[in-house]
Amino acid sequence: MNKERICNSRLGESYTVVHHPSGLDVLIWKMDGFSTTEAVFATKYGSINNCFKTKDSEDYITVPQGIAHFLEHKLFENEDTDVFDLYAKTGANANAFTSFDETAYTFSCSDNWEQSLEILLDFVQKPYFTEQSVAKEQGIIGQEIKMCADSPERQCFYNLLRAMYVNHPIKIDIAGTVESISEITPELLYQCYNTFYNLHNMVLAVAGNVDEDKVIEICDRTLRPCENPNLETRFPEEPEYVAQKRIFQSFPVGLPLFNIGFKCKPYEGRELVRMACITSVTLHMLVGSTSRLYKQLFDDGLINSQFGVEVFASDGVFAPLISGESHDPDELFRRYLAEIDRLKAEGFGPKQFEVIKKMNFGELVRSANNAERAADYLAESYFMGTDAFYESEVLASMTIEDCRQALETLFDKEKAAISIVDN
Amino acid sequence: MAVYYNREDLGRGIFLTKIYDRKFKSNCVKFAFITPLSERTACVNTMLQTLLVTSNAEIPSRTKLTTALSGLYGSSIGTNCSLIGDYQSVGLSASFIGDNYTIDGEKISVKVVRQLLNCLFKPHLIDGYFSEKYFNLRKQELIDANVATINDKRGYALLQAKKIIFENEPAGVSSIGTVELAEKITQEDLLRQYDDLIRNANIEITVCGGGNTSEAEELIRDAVKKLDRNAPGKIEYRSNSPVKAQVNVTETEMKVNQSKMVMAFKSSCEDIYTAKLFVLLLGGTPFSKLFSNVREKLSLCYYCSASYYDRKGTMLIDSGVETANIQKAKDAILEQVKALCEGDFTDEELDNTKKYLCGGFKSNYDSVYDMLGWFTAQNTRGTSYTPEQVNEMIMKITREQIIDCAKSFVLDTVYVIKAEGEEESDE
Repeated sequence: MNKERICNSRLGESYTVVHHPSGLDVLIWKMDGFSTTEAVFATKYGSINNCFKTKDSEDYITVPQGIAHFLEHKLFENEDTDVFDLYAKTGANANAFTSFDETAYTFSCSDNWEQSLEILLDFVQKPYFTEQSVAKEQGIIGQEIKMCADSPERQCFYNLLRAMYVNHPIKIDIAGTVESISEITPELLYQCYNTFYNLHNMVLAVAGNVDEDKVIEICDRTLRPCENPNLETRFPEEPEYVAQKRIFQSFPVGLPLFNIGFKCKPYEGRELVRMACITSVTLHMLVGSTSRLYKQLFDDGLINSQFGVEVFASDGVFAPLISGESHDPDELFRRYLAEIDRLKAEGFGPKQFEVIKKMNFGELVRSANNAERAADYLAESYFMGTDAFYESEVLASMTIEDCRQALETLFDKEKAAISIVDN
Repeated sequence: MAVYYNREDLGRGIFLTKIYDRKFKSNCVKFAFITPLSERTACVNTMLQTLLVTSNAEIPSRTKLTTALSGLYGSSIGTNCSLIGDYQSVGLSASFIGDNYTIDGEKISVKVVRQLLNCLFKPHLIDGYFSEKYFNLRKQELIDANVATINDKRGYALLQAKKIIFENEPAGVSSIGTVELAEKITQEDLLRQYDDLIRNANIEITVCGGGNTSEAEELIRDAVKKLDRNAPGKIEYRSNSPVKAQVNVTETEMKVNQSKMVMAFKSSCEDIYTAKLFVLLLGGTPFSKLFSNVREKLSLCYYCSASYYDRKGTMLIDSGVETANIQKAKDAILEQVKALCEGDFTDEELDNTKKYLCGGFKSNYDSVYDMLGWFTAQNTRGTSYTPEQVNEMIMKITREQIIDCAKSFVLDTVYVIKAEGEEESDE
């Protein structure tokens, strides 16, 4: 069994990567003094992975939208028991989530972490689907989809993705639609499960109060070795241009909501982490709370405390976003584009760059303060093909020139889109 | 646990609580001004804290203050507003990484706390008034916040329900008021309220995190010593809400896809930890009665959970329901409450719920904010129990105590937001 130790002297932290013979990589971050144990057992399989092939299939297979999320719900039901009843005996708080590119099963506990880890590894490897249980879940998820349809923030965000992307499945709600989930059958669930819930496509991250040897011992006992299926996923060809520059939806809201994004060329692996970090600093200098533009927008009442910035990235997707509430989203959009032009011509101030870098470093220090964030971060960075401390290296070596280039290449007016939700 | 806890009475209604655990890499300093909740002053207090956090006499520009804090490794000063029974807690908090984690050993704790104290006690005033520009912006923000409450349908349902559940009680007041109240706020209201908070509110100061903040604490002590204070009395936070003579059933319609139902039950049970355990057993875990029966077995709600407001002796059950199933869901929820009153739960279910609750309490040690929240709640109850001490009490609770507690809860209010144009099933 191969082991690697990943260390970061700036943060004074380290963790171990165990390449388990079963095919699973296990990441263990022991955090001294912490009483809780956080575990994440995740597969690199999210709502966008609907077209795939393995070495056993001749051609690519396309399945209905919403299966990754549906599987997440269904795995909690075993043949003989409900998984929550098993966790109930250990006192752990269990949960799961599906994102665009990942499905993760988690638990958090203060006692009996060994038993909880066994439950986690066991149930995720034990699917059980029947016609009856699939039909019941269609009802429950249908209600979830309806509930989400009542959220104007969510509608505004998905509308932006629809405006930016012509073909990429990122524009479809993670849960799918009432129609797409009605097509789901036990056979389809097994097919997707067997494809993506392969240990070579998964990771286990454990952080907090944990013992490395015991984790490995539990993995030895519970993981069922599997062959690498050579999984390949595919996305429809996506043009560089946006589908539409402005999208509007009428919805009962207090104040108009907006999301604005720039469609950029996607990145992968370490380059993705590097570019996400550079773009985040650039975005903060451009429109973050210390920027000139933020001051003007705030002073003119065009944004309020709901304003936020984010670098949104996934397989085949990279987009710096801003979002919030505004009395006049179109005017805000106009000023945002004008400020980008100004900064392209005049450049960023070096003082502001240092401030934002320090701010991001402080955020990294804080992330090592919390076992839940540490476990999530381990899994996330693993799927991006880097280690959890790579971002601090990027930050340390980043220059203002990196940000200038990011502004020049990523913030292209022609590839900007705005989504507005208003009454 | 290697946690240091100390609560000090600084006199004249000011308390300083210190909670340190060296494993943390950051610290938080919170100033909470606790004052009786009233419709007239609640939204003024809320707006006041947003003005105080914007700038101060030393750094009168919002951008410059934010930039100064960001340059201190992403330190921040934020507002904190919460309702504790019939009281409102408002104030500011500062968050910053430990001095030993700065790249060049820069001592940032003193700099951040100095700005926090400036915001609180040296506000940016021009000719005795807040900056007109910031005043107008923050007022508009408060109006907008009121208008935007309809965006989150679940939160909106709870907000509206609480007005009925705690009718004629301070706890029924919203901290952001209403559009009408927000529109009427004047500079004079804010200055009067600022003066009242400084003089008369109970002030709870908490320093929580990795520690090594003694110099910053000295700054805090010096600053509060100079305050011109009356001596406010001790606050009794617990005030059970009276049960209505008749159950209030209110239905309203809205353009939504999923209907919302909030049910309130009231009790005079004095043992809050038994009540918490009962509420969790009923609807606070993924294996609770409500989750496993009403959601999973009967598929009547997408969410259906119970929560407990210990200062008001009130349990809320809120659910997202299809309109056709509202009555069925209501009946199913009442059936589960009845089942607990009749002792229809196993020892295993009770033990599992105890484990879940105790595990959650213990996990408070692993987050600066959770630890701060835990001991703040203890302070408001006049106790200083550690999670372990409470867990010991919980493990001793018997099924008979749970049954007695369950029987003490009486249905008080049912509030429903129905999807416009949809009908309930006649079955």
